[in-house]
Amino acid sequence: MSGNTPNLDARLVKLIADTEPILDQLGTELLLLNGDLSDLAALVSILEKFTTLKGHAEKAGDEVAFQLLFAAEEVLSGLLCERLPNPADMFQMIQDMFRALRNYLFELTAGNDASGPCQTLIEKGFQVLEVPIVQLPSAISPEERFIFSVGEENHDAPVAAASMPTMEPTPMPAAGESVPSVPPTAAPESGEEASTGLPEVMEDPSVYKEYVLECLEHLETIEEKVLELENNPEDINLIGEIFRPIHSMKGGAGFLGMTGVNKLAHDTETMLDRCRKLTLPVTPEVVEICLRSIDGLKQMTVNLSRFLDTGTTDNINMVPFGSIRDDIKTLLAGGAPKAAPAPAVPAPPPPAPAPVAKPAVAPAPTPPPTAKPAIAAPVVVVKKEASSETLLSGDLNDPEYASSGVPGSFGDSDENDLLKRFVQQCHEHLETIEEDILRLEKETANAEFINGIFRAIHSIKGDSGFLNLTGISKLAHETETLLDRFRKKTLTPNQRAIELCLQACDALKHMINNLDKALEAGQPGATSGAQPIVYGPIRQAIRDVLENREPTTVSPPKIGEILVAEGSVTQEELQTVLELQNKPIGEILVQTGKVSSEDLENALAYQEKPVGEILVQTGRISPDKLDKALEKQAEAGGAGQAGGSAVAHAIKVDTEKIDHLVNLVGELVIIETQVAQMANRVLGGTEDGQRGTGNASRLYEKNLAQLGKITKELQDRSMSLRMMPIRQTFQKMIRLVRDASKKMNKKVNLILVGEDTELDKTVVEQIGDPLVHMLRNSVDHGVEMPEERIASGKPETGTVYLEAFYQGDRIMIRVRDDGKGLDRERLIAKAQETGLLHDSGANLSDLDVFKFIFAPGFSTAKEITDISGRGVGMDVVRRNIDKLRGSIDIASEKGKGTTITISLPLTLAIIDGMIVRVGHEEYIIPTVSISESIRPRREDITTITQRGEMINVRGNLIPLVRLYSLWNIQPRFTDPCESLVVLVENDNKRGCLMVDELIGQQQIVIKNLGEQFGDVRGIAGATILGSGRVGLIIDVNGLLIRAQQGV
Amino acid sequence: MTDNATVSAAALQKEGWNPASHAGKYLTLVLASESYGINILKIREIIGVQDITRVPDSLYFMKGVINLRGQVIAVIDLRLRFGMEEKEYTEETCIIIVERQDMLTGLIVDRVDEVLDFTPNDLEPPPKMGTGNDDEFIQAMGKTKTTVVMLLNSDLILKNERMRLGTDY
Repeated sequence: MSGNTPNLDARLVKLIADTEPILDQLGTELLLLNGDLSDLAALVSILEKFTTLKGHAEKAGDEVAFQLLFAAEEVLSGLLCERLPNPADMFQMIQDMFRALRNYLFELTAGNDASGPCQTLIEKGFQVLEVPIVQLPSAISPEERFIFSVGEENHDAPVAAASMPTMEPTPMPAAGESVPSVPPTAAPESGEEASTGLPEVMEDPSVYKEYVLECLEHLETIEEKVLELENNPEDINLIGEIFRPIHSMKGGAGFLGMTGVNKLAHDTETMLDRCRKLTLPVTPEVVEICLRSIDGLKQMTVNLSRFLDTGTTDNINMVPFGSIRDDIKTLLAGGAPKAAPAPAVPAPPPPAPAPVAKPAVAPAPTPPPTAKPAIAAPVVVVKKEASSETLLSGDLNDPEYASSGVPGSFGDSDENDLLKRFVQQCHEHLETIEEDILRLEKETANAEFINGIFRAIHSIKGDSGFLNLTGISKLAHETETLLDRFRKKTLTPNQRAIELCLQACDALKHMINNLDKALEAGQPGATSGAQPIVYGPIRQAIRDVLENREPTTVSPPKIGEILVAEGSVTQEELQTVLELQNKPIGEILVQTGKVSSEDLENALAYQEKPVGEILVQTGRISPDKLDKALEKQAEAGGAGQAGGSAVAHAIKVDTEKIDHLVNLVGELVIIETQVAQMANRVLGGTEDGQRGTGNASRLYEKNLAQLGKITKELQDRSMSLRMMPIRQTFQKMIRLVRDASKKMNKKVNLILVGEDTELDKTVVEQIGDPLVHMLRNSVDHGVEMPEERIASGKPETGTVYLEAFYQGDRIMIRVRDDGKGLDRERLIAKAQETGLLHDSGANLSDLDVFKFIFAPGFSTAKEITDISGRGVGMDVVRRNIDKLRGSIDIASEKGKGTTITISLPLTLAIIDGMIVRVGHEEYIIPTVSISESIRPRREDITTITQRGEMINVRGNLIPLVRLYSLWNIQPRFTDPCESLVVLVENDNKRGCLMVDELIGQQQIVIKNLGEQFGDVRGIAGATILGSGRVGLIIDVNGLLIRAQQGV
Repeated sequence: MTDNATVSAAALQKEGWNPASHAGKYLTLVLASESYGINILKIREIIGVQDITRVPDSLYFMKGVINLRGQVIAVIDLRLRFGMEEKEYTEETCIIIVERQDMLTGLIVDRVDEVLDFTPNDLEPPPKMGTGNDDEFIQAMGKTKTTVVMLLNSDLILKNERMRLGTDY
């Protein structure tokens, strides 16, 4: 069977491969730009892409592509320098050029020539540029483009191709044929078009094997995406994601001579391309056809794979796909009224409406209008349709109005897993969204935030739609629409819109929480008892906002038309004005006598130059400022690209896995130490450092040192895995303070310090609750009302600091406000009232008095607000901090403010520790607590009645703590003058710990002692020492307290 | 503690002792020539005696902590736990690592013996009144042809509330 398989010239194959990703990117950028010519950075980026493409085309010797790109590049740079008239039209032309180019390259892979539309555009483009069409010296002539493989080669094929008729009578178009393939719509008489999917000629099986693997992967993606598309038919990105793999499959199939796969993929691709260009709606039929086509392609791929494995064509069946292709053709024909000769010719650019802007007021020509109204209009129409239905049904069962967010039923466990993952992702997304919205509130013009929110909302929408979570998806959709308008700059994120976003975010959060709970309980919607979340009003409000900004939906009749209709002007007059409008502004000015042609010349001379130079020349900016701006522009372009890939830099790992890894690394470190010690002995080293001198032993030693280094590094790295910045927890507080202060009508500014402070994951997770209560208290009870603040000479806006920092071996988290401070007298009075205090409290320290606020049920608030005042919050704080083995300190000055400091241990952090020996036991003292170690002289030791032994250290009397007697150990020394004392200091307490010996300093990992021991006063935890033994870490603070009590 | 013991033993009787719930494979161990059994499903592994770090202020039978592949694990001397005399550790002395609610604990025993399979027919309820301190932990008596094995409820031995009695100073 001789298929006239077109094999492209290798240079063209390369061109197509090289340009594909750039084209995709370019397409997205053009789409995102949406005709907004003020976005210089984006335009520059587009220009760069055109230049790159042009380079590729030149290398490949494809004249059509080269000329087209040359024109596009020139026109665009003309636009950038503002030296071309009618920027909107010009930009439209650039877009057309892009489409034509993509279509041209696309058809090239199928062996078709779609250079027709390109030629037209090339002519048009060069005409605008007023230069003759540039010729490419080494161009490939159209005749050379395809090299035809002829059937004769078949006899040396490994497959007896004749035994597998491909029943494909459609001849491929001859080179240069102007009307490209219009395959007959009717199926051939010999039966339905079908193929085994095997190539006629197979040269290198390994290439095919690779292709099969690739295809199977592609098909999986495609299928997944198609199913997703079914639920989100408007999602153009999805179509793109389906389009690309199909396109790669087609290319590969064409290259490898698999006509069947190539044809089916090509037709499917054509259909998708139409969808992508919005000339064909994504209907259920389209999805159906896609799925059928995928099945067909899959079958053919499987055939190929089977053939590669077995080497025979037994058990390989024909895969009929004629009907699929027919259906696609019918669909395309029906979808586009005039069946285009070449499939997917870009829809003719809508005739620029050239609206007459205010000619009634001033008949004098006005600057050419931008294309914005024309582009924005269809969006509005869609919105209107949606909003015509009322959302305020008030019916909790109406999915348009309210939803609990929980689906009516759960599917199998797979689906539950999906839902769980969805919930997890949503939490993350919502956090990002909230954070970004709050930042957006401050910087309304920051596109980065808008895009961030948009992306997150979009993912929620997509996933929820896919999972049939109608409520979530609906609300997300509405919010997305709103954000899209921010993004397109057709709506500024004003206070009202931001408030709405936050409300929507909250409603989504509630629904996700419901879903989460229902999932945990394993009960779907009806039985879970989840409260429906009413979001109808939010959606309605969003729509209101959207419509207020865009007053009309049907584009208003043009003013010119109205004028004609009213008889104020005649049709001819209007025509003249309209013609004037098409002329460059300069000419009109000259014509109407406003400027002389000389002036115009001068102005044009300026215009030829890049805008930056003009600015410099006219003295507006200095040259170095221009350079800086240009640099920034380049950065902006780079940043945009880097931003896209940044997301993939983090992966989620189960904490359990990390813990396991950390444990294993710990063990490795210990074994490494032991091996090193043993090696020393084996190599004949003696205790005093004399080592063996042989070559082998030197090498051995060197390697051991290297091993030690790597192990250490490994340990450090694995330890850091569990540490995470407190940022996330802190960020949540922004919202909290914002809401609380709004509710209280107070003005509060929250300042975060040290968000990057890293602490153990568990601590980060558990510190959230206490912080919420502390901040609420600060806002509610600390910061005064604005009038009160002004009256007492403070700035109207109160400031609350939330800080995290390291202090020694502890993490400090501090909430500081400049409010009214704690009232000692009132606290005492209240304490007496509630029976916490039985005397006057006059001898109590401030700290002791302040600590009353942590008592359960203790509140001095005169009235209970819905934020705080019930006396629960601070009790929660204390309990949580106790759980983390932290401590709380309060400082407050009446009228000046309150500072609450939480001090937390790093539960799983590496700390520097000094290993000391007492008798047989080894203990670790955190190095930060150690001031010095001394061997006291006899005369330094004094005994003070009731306070025990003291050591005089340079005039300071510091209590002596005999560790051995405290912990009942048999020590080497019982006389402090023979042993050593380590002077420790913590929390303003000092003590001299008596130890037998200092062993050395080491970085250690704090491990929990285990539940069985509970809290041992004086012991902070355990660690594994280099010897493999467990060493106990001394909690200096606890130990000193215990020693003081004399227990 | 003895109060607790009689209460739990009584409760055991009241609930109705069911031999089937105690049937299964047990690792037998020896303490002062007496044979005990621990359900093998509760056992993670058996290791030799290691260097034990004493923890201050802990109960007399809590020998301290050991390093089990990077994990810090509490170790109980079962002899002391059962009120027997302490004995110097030998080559045969073992630490049985048992698991309760994801928490590992080591039990020091004189030696381990073998794994025996007890069917419900081999089991008898624990004696109502014992003489030693250990009967509160015995969930069943397992009979073999030659001897009787006291089958221990390892969960009760490990229950931390019991072990922390007296640590509140």
